[in-house]
Amino acid sequence: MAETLPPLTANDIRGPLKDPTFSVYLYVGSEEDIGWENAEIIFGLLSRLRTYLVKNINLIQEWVGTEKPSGVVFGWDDKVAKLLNKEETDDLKTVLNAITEARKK
Amino acid sequence: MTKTPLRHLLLLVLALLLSLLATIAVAADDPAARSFGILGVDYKMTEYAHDGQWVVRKTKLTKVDANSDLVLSFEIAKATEMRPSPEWQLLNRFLDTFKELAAGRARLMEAKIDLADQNKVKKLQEEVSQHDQAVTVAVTDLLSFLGKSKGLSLKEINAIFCGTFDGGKKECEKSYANVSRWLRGEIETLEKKAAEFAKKKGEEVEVTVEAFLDPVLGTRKALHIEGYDSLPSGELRPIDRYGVRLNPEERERLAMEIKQAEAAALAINEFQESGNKIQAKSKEFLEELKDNLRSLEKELKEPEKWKSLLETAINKLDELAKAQGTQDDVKNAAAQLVKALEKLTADTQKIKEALTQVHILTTQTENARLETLLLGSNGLLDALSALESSLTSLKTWQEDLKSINENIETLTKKITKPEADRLIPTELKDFLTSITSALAKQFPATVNLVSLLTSNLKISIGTDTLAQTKTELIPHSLDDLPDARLELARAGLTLNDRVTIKVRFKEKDTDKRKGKNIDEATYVTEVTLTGLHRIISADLIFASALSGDESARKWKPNVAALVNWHYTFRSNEPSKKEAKTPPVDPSSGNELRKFWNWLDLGAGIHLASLSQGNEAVQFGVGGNISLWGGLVHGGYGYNLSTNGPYVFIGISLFDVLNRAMRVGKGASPTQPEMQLAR
Repeated sequence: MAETLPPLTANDIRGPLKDPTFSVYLYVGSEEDIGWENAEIIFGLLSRLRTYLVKNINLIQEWVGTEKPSGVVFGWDDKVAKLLNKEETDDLKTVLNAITEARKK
Repeated sequence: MTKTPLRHLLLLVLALLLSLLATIAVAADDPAARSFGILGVDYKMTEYAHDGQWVVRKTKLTKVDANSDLVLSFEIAKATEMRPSPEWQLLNRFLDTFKELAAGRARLMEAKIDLADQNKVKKLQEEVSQHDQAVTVAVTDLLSFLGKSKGLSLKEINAIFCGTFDGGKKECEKSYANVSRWLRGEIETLEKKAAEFAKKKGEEVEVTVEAFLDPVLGTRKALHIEGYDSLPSGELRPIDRYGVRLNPEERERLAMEIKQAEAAALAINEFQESGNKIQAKSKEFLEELKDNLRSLEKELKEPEKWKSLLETAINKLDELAKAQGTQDDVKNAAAQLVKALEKLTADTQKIKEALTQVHILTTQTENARLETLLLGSNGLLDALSALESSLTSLKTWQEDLKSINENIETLTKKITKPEADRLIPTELKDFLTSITSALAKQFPATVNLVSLLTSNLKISIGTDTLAQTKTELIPHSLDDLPDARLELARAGLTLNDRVTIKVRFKEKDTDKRKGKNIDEATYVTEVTLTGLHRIISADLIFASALSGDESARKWKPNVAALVNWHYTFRSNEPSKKEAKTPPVDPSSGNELRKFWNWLDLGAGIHLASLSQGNEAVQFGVGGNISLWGGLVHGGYGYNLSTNGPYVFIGISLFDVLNRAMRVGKGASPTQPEMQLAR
């Protein structure tokens, strides 16, 4: 079962973001999106990654501000490493590269 | 700090490269490594010898022990061992990689770290990052394979990762399990196809194995391979490894060596004593041959002219034989004569060929050097072989001419004289009479002379007789391939003979077409004795007494029979680890063994005939050392007649000639003679 915002709130992802042994990837969209499929596939491939489906972008405003990204990549901390657009989140390889690059730092 | 992951990545790449190289090296070095071809069959030749089991490679000339068995064994691939295509191999590599990555992920996920311990946290992050890199490489490769090679769309690719490709439940987060399931399915499909292909091929393919012996003496002959031909298996005649017992082939070879050495010693003696008489004798012999050939050429100098006379006569006689009103006995006589004359006409072509050879011989032997005369291109050896063959094929020619003359006589008795003159002109009659009479003397003498000279010069050239070596092979299908065993001890061998084994995979012939060759391999081996062994030979020696008068101290040519014991290291790889002696790999270390094999030093005893005093027959015995496997000898002995010591150096003429002929014949890819030191 996917961890989805809502019902989860920003507060629920602050904890994982503070855990230096996990990194976080947020996908903004719906469960039927190919971008969410990619997020789940990558969750299955990589270790120590948490993925969240964000249905309401306002809930993550503190990290994206006024931007309207389709994906939000974090490294080992709570700082945004990269924002991905729709075209990028639809491409499995691009998402994979973005997450692995963020975790190199 | 940022350089650390990069260093790890480099190390990872390096490790992968090293592991790949190691895998390739192991596969290349491991003699037991199997390589299944398109038919799903692997075959290998093993030498079963007194000192273990050894690999015989098809790519190079291999020295094998004279008393060993050569066994060609076949192995049919199991479905999992087959390599139907590069795609099959790639899929298996992906499967292995993804299994490893899944295990890596599980291990990292389970790691429990004290978040307060910064070092441990940092270390875990680095390990995760390394795993990330490996996943990225593997997924990029898989995506490229799925997209470019398999032509799948993004949707289809995601279906594989999410597990819906075969109608399964959508579980994208179980990506490793889903990809592995898809890979296994693809591999199974390919294996099934390959097994079906191999089965189909197996029914359509036949395998034959045949073996040939190229002896240093004589011509090529076929050897028996149990179950693969109908030849007799031969008597068990092993070569005595240590003692002086000789098998019939060795006895024959020793007799030949003694004869050669004696002839050489005699020739040298004669030359020393009689100056250039020997040269004159050779010239005389050649002149006699030339004279005979020139006479033959003269007798037949206008073949075209009498050929046309023959044709006219045949036409007229044929008309007579077919004419209405001709008596039956005349008809029969004419018909017989037509038949005989037609054969004579056909033989004219052969005579012309013989004349061409005569011409080459009589023009090119003038003032030629001995070496060129014998072994040069169109030299005496080649020219005489061709001439002998032409003349031998015309052996019935004399009888044919005699029969024609008798038929002419019979016919002329049955018809009027003017009619006989019209049918067979006097010119033709005279020609036939004169040639019959001339050839009665000339022809056999020439054939015999040529044969004598040829047989004295001719040294067996196996390939020439290959076409004459007919073996009834027993083909086997792929599902019935017993070991093909050749027992060298039953082959009637002597040292330095060569044994060739051919295996051929061929489509079966059908009513409509002849089956094509699919694959074939040739193994060429040279017979030798390995480990400690003896070599028996006869040498031309130059001996000098260490005491006595000046004449006795002179170096004189003589003959000695020698037996030497040598030790040779193996040069082929063991097929099993328990083999006693390590191999000599020409491309790597072990230089001392390699040098030892090249020098092939031996020591032994000899019996020599000597000429160091007044007695007609003198014998000496003593010890000797041998180099290069018996090519050169040196020794010290005691003359039993003069009771004095002597020393000698000797050379094996037979060995020299044999080596010269093999080098002269050139090295084929499977016969790289020059690479091998004896």
